[in-house]
Amino acid sequence: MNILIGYGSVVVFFALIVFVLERTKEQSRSFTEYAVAGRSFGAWFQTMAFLNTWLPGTVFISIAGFYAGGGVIGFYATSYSLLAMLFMFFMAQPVHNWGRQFDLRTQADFVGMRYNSKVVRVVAATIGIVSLFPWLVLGLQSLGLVFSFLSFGSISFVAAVFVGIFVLSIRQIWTVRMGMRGVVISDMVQGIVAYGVGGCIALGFVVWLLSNGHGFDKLPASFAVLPGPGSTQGPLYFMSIVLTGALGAWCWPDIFVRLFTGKSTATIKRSSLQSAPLLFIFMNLLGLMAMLAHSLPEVASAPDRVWFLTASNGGVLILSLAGVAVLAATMGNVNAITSAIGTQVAQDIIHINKPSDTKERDARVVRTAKISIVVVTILAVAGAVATVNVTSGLVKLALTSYQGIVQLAPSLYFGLFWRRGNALGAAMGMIVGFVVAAAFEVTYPTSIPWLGGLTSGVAGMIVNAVIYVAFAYLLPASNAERSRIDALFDSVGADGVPVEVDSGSLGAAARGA
Amino acid sequence: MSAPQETYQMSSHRILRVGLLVLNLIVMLFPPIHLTMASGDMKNALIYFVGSPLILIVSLGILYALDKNTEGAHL
Repeated sequence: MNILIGYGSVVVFFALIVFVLERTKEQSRSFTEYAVAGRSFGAWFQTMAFLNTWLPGTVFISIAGFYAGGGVIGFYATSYSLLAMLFMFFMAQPVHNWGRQFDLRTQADFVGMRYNSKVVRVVAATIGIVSLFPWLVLGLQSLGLVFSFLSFGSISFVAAVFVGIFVLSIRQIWTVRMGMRGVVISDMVQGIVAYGVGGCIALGFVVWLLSNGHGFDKLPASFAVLPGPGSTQGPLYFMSIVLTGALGAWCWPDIFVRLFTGKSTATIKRSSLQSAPLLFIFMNLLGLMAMLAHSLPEVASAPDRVWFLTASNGGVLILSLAGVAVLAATMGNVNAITSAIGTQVAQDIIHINKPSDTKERDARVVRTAKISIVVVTILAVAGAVATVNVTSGLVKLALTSYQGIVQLAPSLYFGLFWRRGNALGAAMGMIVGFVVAAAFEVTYPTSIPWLGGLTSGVAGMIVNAVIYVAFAYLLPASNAERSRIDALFDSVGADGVPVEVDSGSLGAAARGA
Repeated sequence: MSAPQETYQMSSHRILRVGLLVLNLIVMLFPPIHLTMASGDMKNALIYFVGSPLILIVSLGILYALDKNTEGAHL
C-alpha cells in the first residue's frame, strides 16, 4: 500500500507536468526559438527557470548532507548562490543586449562573438560539455534514493536507480520536442513543487526538531567552526569554495543561457531580485533542518540521507511529497543540462561553419540539436547504468568538474567589462588554467596547503587570469579589432545611457562564425 | 535636470553600484570576517550566515531602484 502512495505521487506529478507542457502546444520553428525560447519570458518564469536549473535534486542530498555532517560550512552554498545573483545583475545588460543584437544562443556563441574567434568558441563549448556531462549522469542516478525510499523497502537500491533513469528518460521526450520553451514552462511547476513544497516540509521539520529536544545545544561545537589557520583545509579554503561557486555559476552553459531567455535586461535584473530572497529562504530552511537533524542517530550515521530520514518521521504522505520535491528539482536540472549540451554541440561544434541565418540552415541546426539531445541522453543513461554502484566516485567527479568549468571565468568576466582582452589570451588562459587546475586536483584534491588552502580551481584561475592580462598587454589588438570592440561596448551604454547602434556597423564577423 | 547635474548623478550612481559590489564581495569572501564569526559560537556563526545574505539582498534592492532611475546601467 505504501509503495502505491509513494509511486502514485510521482505519477500524479509527472502527469501534471505533461498536462502543462501539452497545453502550451507551441512548436519551435527557428533555432532561436528552440535554443532560447525566442527571448520571450517574463521575470517570474526567469526566476523559476534560474532556481530550477541552479538547485538540482542533489541539493536535498549532497548539500543537505554537508550541513548535517559538517555544520555551518554548508552555508557556503547559500553564499555563493547569492553572489552569483549579484553578478547576474551586473552581467544582464551587456550579455542580453549583445545576445539580442547578434542573435546569440549559447555561452560559447557569446565568447566566440566577444573575441571574434572560432577557437575560443570551440574551447569554451568543449570545456562546458565535458564539465556538464558528469552532472547529467549524477542527475539520473540521484533519483535512486527517491525511488528507493518511496518504494518503502519493496525494491532494491539498484532497481530504484533503474526506475529513476527510466522516468527521466521518458521526461526527455518533451525536452527534445519543445526545446527551451518546454524547459522554462515546466521549470515553473517543478520549481514551485521543489522549493515551495520542499521549503514547507523543511520548515515543518525545523519546528518539529526544535520542539522535540533537537535544538542547537545538541550540536557538536565543531558545527560552528569554519576551517581556519592550522586546520587541514587551510584558512583560505572557505573563501575558495565560495569564490569558485560564485564565479563558476555563469560559466555553466545551462545557467548562462538564462541571460538569453528573458525578454529584456530589466526582466533579468528583476528575476535576480526575486530569486535572491526565495533562494535565501529555501536554502536556510533546508540547512537549519539538516543541521538540527544531526542529533537524530540515524542521520548522524548517514548524513547524505538526512532529507529522507527526517521526512520519514512525518509518515508516508510527507515522505512521498519530500521525494516528489527531489524529483522536481532533478527534472529541471537534467532538462536544462541536456538542452544546453544539445544546442552547443549542434551550433558551436557541428555547425560552427554554417551560420544559421536562413530558414533551411536553421531547420538543420534544430534537427541536429534534437538528435544531440537524444544521443547525450542515451550516453548519460549508459553512463548511469555502468556506474550504478560507484555513485560516490561520480559525486567527486561532478564536484571536481567545478574546478574545470571555472576556467572559463577570466575570459567571460574580463570580456564583459574590459576592452583589452584578446582571443589568444582567452584561449591560452582557458587551456593552461584547465591543465593547472587538473594537475593540482590530482595532487591536492581538497586544498593546496602551501597556498593557504586555495583550491585547485582558484589556483588554475589565477594562472589563467595572469595569462589573459599578459596577452592583453603584450599583443595589442589591431585597429580594426579595437574599433569593433569599442563599438560593441559603446552599444551597451557605458554609464546607464542606452545607445542605439546598428548591429551591422559592428561587422558581420562579430559572431566569430 | 541640467547636463552637468545629470552627469554628476550618473557618476555617483556608478560609484554606489561598484561600492555595493565590493562591499558584498568583502563581506562574503574576506577570510578574517567569516573566520571570526564562525569560530565556535553557533549564535555568531548564524548571525553571519543569515546577516551576510540579507546585506546582499538589500543591496540588490538598492541596485534595482538605482537602475530604474537611470533606465538601465552597466558597470
